[in-house]
Amino acid sequence: MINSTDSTNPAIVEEQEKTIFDWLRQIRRRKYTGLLTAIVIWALAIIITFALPAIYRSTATILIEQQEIPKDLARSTITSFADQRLNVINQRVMTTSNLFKIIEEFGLYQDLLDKKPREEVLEEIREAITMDIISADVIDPRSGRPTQATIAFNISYDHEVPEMTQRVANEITSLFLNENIKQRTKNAQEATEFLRDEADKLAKRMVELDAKLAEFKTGNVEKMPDMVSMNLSMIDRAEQQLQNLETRLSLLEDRKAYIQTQLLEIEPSSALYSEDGEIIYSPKDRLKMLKVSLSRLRGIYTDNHPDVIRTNKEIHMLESRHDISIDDSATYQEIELLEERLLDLKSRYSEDHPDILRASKELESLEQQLLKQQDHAEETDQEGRQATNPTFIQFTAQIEAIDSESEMLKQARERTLQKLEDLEQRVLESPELERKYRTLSRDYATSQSKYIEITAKLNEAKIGESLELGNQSEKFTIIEPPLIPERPIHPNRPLFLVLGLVLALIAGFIAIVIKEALDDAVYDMNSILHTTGMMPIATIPRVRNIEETSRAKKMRNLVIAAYLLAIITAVLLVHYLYMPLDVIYYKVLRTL
Amino acid sequence: MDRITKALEEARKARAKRSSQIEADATWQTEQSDWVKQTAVELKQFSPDPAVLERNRIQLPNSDIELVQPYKILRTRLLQLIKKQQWTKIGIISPGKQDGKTTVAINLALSIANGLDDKLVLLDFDLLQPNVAKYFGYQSDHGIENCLLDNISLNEILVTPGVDGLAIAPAFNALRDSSEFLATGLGEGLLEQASHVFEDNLVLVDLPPLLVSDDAISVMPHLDAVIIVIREGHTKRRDMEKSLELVQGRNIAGIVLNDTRSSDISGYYYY
Repeated sequence: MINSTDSTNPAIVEEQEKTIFDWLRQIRRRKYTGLLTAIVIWALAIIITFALPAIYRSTATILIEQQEIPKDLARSTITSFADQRLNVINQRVMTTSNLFKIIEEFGLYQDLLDKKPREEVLEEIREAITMDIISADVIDPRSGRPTQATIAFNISYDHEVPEMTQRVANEITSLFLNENIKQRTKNAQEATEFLRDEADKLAKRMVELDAKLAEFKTGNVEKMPDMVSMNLSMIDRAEQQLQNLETRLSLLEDRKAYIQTQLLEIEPSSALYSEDGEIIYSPKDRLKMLKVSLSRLRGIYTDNHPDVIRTNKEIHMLESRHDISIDDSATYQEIELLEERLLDLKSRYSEDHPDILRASKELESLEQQLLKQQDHAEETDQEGRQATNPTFIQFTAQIEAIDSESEMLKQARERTLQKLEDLEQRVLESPELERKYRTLSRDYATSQSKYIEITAKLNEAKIGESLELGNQSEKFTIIEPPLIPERPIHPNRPLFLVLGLVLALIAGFIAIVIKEALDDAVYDMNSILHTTGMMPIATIPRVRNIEETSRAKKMRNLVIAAYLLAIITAVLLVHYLYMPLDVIYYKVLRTL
Repeated sequence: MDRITKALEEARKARAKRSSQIEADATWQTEQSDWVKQTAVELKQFSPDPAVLERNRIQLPNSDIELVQPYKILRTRLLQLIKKQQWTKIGIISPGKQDGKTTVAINLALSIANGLDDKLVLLDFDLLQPNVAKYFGYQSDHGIENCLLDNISLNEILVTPGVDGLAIAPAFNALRDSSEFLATGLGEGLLEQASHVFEDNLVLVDLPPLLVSDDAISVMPHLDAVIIVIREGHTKRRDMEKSLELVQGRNIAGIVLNDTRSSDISGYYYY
């Protein structure tokens, strides 16, 4: 008895693992869902594939040729990497003005220009132009490491009209080539110019430094550091000389002192004797003698005595002739008298008495006279004391000689001292000067080495420039000019179709899975067993009536027709889009 | 192209064969009238149009084995169970509409009646959408609805499609308050009457879908057991579960999986 009090019997409820047949059944059950989805998706893919506008691409391949003259012989001043330079050129070519020139020249994007802002049109053409750098794996000769070397590059232009792609690609390629030459020449010239400027600057500086150095040298010849030793020896010598002079001076002093002591003991004038053995006096001495004898005679005789008169006469004669007063006693006496009289007058008269005035005047004149007489007397005394003693004269002469020599020596000493001081100053100043000198000469040396370096570089740059100008260095050569493309690059129709088919199949499968997952319907006995806990008492297979059978047949015919149509379409697509069938046939034959 | 024409030709032949079969069916009743089963009442007899039967997937005496065989299996297993349990009134229910409940009921009834000693009455209690008469292409003024409304005796509406041992109590017009009528003693009375049409005959009751109305639930207490028809790819599992809850406590004679495309039991029966 089957009783449903316990509607779900867990003992039997054991969902069985799905077998491959279950899967197949599921797929068969949902085949229309899957097929319809797949067909719709593929149809969409086909429509999209053929609705997309065909884009053609024309490509130029440009080889970057290395310079032909070995780099060791002539080096180009352009040292940046080729790809870097290519990018720079690319930027320079892709300027707004260049691109607009191309747009205008070829009448591109006319429909877009009306609708969109210029920037977007520019964006469009920028995207259409592509530059691909072709690199090769090489081994860097310097480092020995494998690197990438740019050996060529492609320039392509994409457009819907094949002929247009070729023309525009051509134009862009020539822009690239021109820009490269312009750029390289300019760079080389700039390098040369720069180096020349630098060299000029350095030359000027060197001249300046040279002049400074010369000036310094001439201004300080004896102070130059290399003169120090000489200066020192000169100091030595000067000191020796000085000592020498001192010694000689003191010797002379000693001698002078000695002579002077001797001289004190000697009468300057020795007595002169006449033929009769009388001493011949000098006029002065004679005058003195006469005056002495006169006063003696006056004591003895009267003034009228012939001796007195004679003596007086002689005195007067001598005095008048030699204009010498032997002494000034007379004046003294007169002054004394006048003073006595003046005193006497003063005691008697007032101060302003004419006599007193006269007397004081007289006294004054007398005193002046006395002073004059005294001066004169001294003069005459000098002359008058002419040494006559030969020894004395000899000694005096010796002293004089000594004096003059010592004067000379003193002067020499002064000079030597001066010189010594000078030399010491030089030696003192020399280190400071040396420093300055060294700075100057170092500056000079630096400038010189720099100048040499720069000049060498300049020469190289000049060679490089001539390389560039003569197109002898690295250059771009078109190895494949842009051609008119025959097949569009986009859309890749065969690929799109295949992808569409794959996508359609996947979508169909997904549709089946989704439908299956969403469907809660009972499909087999297992689910009944699982839900109710009992096996069905019987299963009734599907029964079709005539109407349904014929409909199913029609449906099947339709499906067959659809398959046929699809196969024919696929074959036609392959024939027209991918490869003509006869070609495929021959290819297959060849591989076999 | 050859294959297609061949296939088309084959199809054409098959169709011609089918129509000749239907023509042959016209002789169905006369052949059967040799051994008439005993009836308590005089049954009105009608001749169903074979074309209508074919369209409604009702088996004919000369139907393909694929169509007849599953019902034979169902009949045999059911009868064994019924006899063992001594059930007489069996309801046929399904969770929802379009589960093939009526088709199964008619085919099962024909299958049982075609048996040598079993008689039965097929009662169309699906008063929401009465289909039994329609499937036979039978028209009449009186149906079960008249029994319920006008107190007509069941015997007056009983007909036989010319199959010995099979009486049909058809319904023609939908009855709005069907469940109320069925729940009353009227329904029970009709069932009781039906079980005495022949001498101790079986009663097969076609009921409305379980989840659509309460008719089936109302009638079930008066039934000995129910057969649940599940249609593959149509009946939802949760509907099946709900139905089981509703028939809880009732005897389930069995579950019939209808409209299968799989070949789990009946071998290669795929179209």
